[in-house]
Amino acid sequence: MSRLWSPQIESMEREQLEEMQMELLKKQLKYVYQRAPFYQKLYKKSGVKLDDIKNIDDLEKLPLTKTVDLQAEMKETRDEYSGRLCVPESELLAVYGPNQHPMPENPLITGITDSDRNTIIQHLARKLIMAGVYSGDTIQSLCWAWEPFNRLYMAAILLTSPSVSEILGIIPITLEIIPLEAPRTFSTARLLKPSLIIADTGHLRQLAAVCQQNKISPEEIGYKTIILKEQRILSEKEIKEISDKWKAKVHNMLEVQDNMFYAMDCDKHKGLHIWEDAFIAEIVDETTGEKVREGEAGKLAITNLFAKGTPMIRYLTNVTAKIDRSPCDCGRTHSRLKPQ
Amino acid sequence: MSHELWNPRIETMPRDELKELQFKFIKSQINYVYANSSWHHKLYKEANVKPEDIKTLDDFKQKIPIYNKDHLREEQRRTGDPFSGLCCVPREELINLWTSSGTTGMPTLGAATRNDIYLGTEIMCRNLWDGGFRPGMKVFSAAINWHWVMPSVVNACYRLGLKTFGFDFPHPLFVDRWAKWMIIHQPEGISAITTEVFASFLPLALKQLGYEPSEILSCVKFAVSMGEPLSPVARENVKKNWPNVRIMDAGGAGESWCWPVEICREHVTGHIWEDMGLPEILDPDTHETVAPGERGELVATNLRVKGLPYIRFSTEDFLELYTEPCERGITHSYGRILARTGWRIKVKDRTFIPFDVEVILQKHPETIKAMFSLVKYSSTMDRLRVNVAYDPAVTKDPDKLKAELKKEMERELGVNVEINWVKEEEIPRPVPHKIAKFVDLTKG
Repeated sequence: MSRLWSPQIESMEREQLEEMQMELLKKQLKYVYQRAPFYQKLYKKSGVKLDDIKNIDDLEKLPLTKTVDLQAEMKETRDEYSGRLCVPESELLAVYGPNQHPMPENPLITGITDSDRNTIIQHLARKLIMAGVYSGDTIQSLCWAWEPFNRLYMAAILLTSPSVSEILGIIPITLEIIPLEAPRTFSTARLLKPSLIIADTGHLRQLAAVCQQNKISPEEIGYKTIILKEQRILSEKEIKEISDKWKAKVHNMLEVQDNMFYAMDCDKHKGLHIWEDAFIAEIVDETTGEKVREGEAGKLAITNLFAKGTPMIRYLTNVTAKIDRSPCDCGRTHSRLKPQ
Repeated sequence: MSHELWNPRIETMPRDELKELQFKFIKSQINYVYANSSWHHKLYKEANVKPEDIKTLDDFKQKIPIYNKDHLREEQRRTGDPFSGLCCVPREELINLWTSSGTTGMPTLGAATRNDIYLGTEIMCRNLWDGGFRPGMKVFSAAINWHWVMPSVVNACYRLGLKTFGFDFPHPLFVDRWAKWMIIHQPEGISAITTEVFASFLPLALKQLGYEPSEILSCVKFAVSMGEPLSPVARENVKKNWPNVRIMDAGGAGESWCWPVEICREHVTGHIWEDMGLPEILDPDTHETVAPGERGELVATNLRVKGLPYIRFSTEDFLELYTEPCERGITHSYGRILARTGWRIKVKDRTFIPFDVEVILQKHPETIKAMFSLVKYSSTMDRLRVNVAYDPAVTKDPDKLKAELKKEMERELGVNVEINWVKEEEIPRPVPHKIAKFVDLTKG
């Protein structure tokens, strides 16, 4: 069995895991219904009572949360959180915009609380261990500066949780993902010899070009592991190409930042693990909103079970995937997302 | 007691008491680096000085050697240690790593322990609070992931209880994002923004979207502008687009921790917190102390940093510094950074820095963005060569403008001037958020 960060959760029996999910779901539904005007309206309009949600399959009775509806709500009520904010504003550590450029009209914003940050840090710790990180390792982590991702590494002296780097004992080099900044990624890599990099395909391409300019092969940089953080699931072919070029193990991290969702494949590379103690993932038909049959491809909808700031229930994403709920060879029981 | 200052006891401490405190820190820091940093140990051994020889501030100034970035790079090459022997703690105690902005070539490394981040946060809390930021205030905060100042700004925002909108790298490429959010969210403060976005790109982007910048930007009451110092003319221009803003200029001076941020309305220059860093202003060529208020190079000493402390580090920042208490009773000295020392250009025995030209360019709407470089084309120069980009949208007659600028510069600077028009994208950018205001053609 592989190394696990939280073995009792990551390898929990399926039945037990679903029980836990149901308990958290009930709490979370009650939480958003009492606090978020958007969900009050949405659920009242649909005529569903929360008491009707007795098991996970009942979740389907609730309408999907769609970006267009949230934007309409924002326009109508002039509430910048689109009626999703569940805590007093003063409890938010920070507010983030969408991870898109250029920025869409009426952009949705996400508020993050101290407790949300703690949970995502735990999730990231699980993923880094999954990618083979050991205490004492130096890693490069790239993201846009507008994302909350970078803050997970930053020592926050007043917050209740240490950063992910303090928890794991690793040394992080946080960098910009903009391809223009590849020379800096290159020079810090040459100096500090990180064993792992989290970046996207665009930046990696640029980094390879910088290597060429400096007349060294990508392999010589010495990454053992590359995590590709993308807003889509990469195909096996794309992963293999990068892996061959850099002579490194490649993982794919899918992000849905609006709902604080990040999923990644383990070293068996048979799909991206969803942390099901924190999320419920469904695959739905985009047009009808109904769940597709088990194992079929469709759009990913995510229910966040832990967030306190601006949680979303059945949030319809743009990600096309299918889902595999069988236990993985790595010992984790949490289900996996697979490309179409 | 007044709540105007974040840490009144330290900030208004009588100057002699402050000096005493400083010297206590100096002594303990010299002991610390001698014992823990291989670079300093070697340096002091070679200079034949021991920690116990430092009995007064004068001893410190006379006996402790000064070093600069090149020395550290040489040490880095020689030993293969990425930290050039500066690091005083086991590597796993460094909880954040970053690189310098690299204005001067190859980036150098910075790193911090938890203690250092705590100090940085205290510095930033003083700056934001004294400048007028208060709990609950809605602020935009720009971040650069690799930059040393970010943990301090982020933590200070948490600590002050600001409502922070996390923002992108304030690169001209993303200024559209800033503009759109500015229209929707109307913040009261900006805890970090780069100077050129603040002074020109953001107002221009708003204009392009069909808005009047001064209407949209009137919500902003406080703004910390970073990266480059603002010239007096640039300030006047900023005021037109940001009618209610209190400008808090925070240009320059990397991880030296001697980092003047303009927090007082009464004087345009910023305070350096002298319980955190010791600033010395020296003649860049002779290393003699210059008179208060004179231009000189900042030589900085970190008084309390435990990760990578710099002791008498020549920052290559050119600035002026005043030591008398300011109108608000803050006893820590204040000053502003004008340029990099390497950016000095000599024309017929007179020394110029990009700042001198910038002030003139910004008086003209066609060159208000101050996209220019001073060019050092030979070691002996008989005229000042300036590459400038004008704004084609508002320039009717480039030839006439060139003649006007030439005449004006020659009158103000007293030397012959050669102006070359270049395109905006031809001005080199060593890092995405700064242009190279100085180009040296004499170095291969």
